[in-house]
Amino acid sequence: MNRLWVRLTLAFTLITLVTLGVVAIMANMRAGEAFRFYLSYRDPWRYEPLVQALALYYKNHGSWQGVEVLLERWQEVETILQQMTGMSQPMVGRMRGMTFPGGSRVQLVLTDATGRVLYDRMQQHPGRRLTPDEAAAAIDIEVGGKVVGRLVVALPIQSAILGPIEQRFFDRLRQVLLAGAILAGVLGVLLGVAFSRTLSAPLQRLAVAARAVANRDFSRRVEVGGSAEIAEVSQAFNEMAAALEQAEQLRKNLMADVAHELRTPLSVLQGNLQAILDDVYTLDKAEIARLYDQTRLLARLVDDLRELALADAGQLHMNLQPTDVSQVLRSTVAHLTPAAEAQEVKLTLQVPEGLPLVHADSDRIAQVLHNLLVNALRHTHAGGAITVSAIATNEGVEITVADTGEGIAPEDLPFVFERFWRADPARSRNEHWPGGSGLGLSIAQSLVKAHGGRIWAESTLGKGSTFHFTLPLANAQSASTKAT
Amino acid sequence: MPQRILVVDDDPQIVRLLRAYLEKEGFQVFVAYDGNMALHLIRSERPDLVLLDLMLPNRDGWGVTRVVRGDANLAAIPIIMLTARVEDGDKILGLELGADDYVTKPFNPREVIARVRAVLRRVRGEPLLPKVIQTGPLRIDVDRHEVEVNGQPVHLTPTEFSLLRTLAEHPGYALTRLELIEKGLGYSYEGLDRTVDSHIKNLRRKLDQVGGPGLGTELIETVFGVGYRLRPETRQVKEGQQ
Repeated sequence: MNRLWVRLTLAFTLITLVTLGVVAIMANMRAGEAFRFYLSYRDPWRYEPLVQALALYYKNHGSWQGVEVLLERWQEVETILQQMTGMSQPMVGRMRGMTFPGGSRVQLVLTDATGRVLYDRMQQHPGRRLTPDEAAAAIDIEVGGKVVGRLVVALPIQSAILGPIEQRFFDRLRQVLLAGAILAGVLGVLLGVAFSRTLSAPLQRLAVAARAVANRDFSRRVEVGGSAEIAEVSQAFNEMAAALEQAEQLRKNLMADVAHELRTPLSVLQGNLQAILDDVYTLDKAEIARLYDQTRLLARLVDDLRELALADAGQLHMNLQPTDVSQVLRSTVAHLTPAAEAQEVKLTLQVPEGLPLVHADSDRIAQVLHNLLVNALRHTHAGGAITVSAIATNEGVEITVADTGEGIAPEDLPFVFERFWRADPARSRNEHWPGGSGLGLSIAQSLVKAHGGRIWAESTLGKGSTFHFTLPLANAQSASTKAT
Repeated sequence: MPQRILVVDDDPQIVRLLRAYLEKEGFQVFVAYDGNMALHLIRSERPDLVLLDLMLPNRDGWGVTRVVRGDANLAAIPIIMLTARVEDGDKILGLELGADDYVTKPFNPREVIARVRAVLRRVRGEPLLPKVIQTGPLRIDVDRHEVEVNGQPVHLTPTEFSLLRTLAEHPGYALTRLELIEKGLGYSYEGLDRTVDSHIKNLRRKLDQVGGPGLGTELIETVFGVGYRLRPETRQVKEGQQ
């Protein structure tokens, strides 16, 4: 009973039945009235002698003055004729089988040429206007081709005037209405079923698709169609499924990447340990140190992944406050200067005086810069230079890390911030910067985005790469707070 | 004359590890750290087998394989691919390009050695695995699941046979209890170490029953703190060979 098609069918049928019922009742009432009206006024030509008599009267008198007498007399004559029940009289000749109970009299109304009532036998309301019913049934009285008055003759309105034929007519009318009700009821059911099916079918399809998605079939989509509301739900469903599919793909890629990245340090660890057990390697501190390095690499990978996952989920704890970015740049550059010197790379910082304060977490900004600098150092050979600079722009403050290293091929440029992407298909080997996790730039990107800033890279292969990122100004913090 | 193996990997630790194992097994080893160096050594040294990592600078492993297989003089050199990539598509591509085998990281160096031996045997038209392993009085017929000591049959349960065969396939190497479980019993579950001990105990007892007291302990040695190993002087016997 709870199904949509059942409910719709019931609603349709109910509406149909109510409408039909009202029509039936109204028809029954009005039809009887109309029929009686028709009967009471029908066959006006029967009164032709009276009309002629009235015309003559008018002709003789020149007005309707004293016509009441004539009409009263007419009544008397007619009553006598009725009592004789001579069915052949012109006046009642057509009313076969109808009897007028004693006392019932024929209504007579006479008006002048303007329609004003002069004589009204029943109601005695001279001066009134004809009712629309009376007007329709009125007979013109003409004298010399000119209408001088109108006569209305009506039989008494009584149910008794309905004979068996007329009764039959009403029976038929009721039968037709009943048949119509049944037909309409059947049509209502059929229509309800058909209509609700078209209405509920897309809902059913949605339910099936939703279950499929719940069972991890993320490629499932539904046809967008039907009414606007259903189409909108279908559209929203498809968008949801697409988002889930994309998230699933990202997750799979990440899992594959993680598995891949963990494999290398793991294979070294496992292999070296086995070699020690197998007496292929001697057990000494140098060997242990190599293993230790591999475990540290693994630990860093796990830390970096966690950081990225938090940033992606928007759960990174950020201590955002007005920050002097030049201070952060100075300390980070100072921190990495010894490493750059050891590698014979010139590391310089160019920060103008009076940089505006930015809305940022200084530790996170230091981390972004550190990751960019390590990346630059990894790809810059001895004799190269790395320049860190900052300028105020419309957006806020833009920080730039430019190196004179290997550079990135144009086709690779869009991928530099992707997880585990490396410029070299093989792991980049640089004696000073062994085994990066491949996540440094991804983390830098996530952190900059968490600040509401932008990060991008430019590069010329063989000439060097330039990484830029922006941070919002401290006084525009409301916007950046939303972004985090 | 020792067989000559070229090891190609950009990770010096991996190269060092494989080299140490291969040399211990009596192979002569050359090493290369990138694709071009590998091709150069393949051309100049004509190794008996190449252990090739896929992710290499300059020219990746697939590129090297393509060149080697496309050169009539080099095409016969067997190649075992070595990589952290685990996608099936990569394996299929590698094998389609003509790699003879595929080892994924993290790998067990002993297994790499076993694969190297297997590929070399296959190239020489020998069966993949020794059907019969013999060490001292012990003779294991792998196909028939039969074990004999001095020609006398030893009746072992499938688990005991599996453990003994696993030990015999890595003669001279100590296997940890966990390795024995994984390789011999076919599943990995911590806390079953003692189960291995009881199986080994039964195995030794049965060897003693047939071959005399002390034989079991003599053949299956306990390596203190590590696990068990089969007595090193094992010989792999295929009629008329070695």
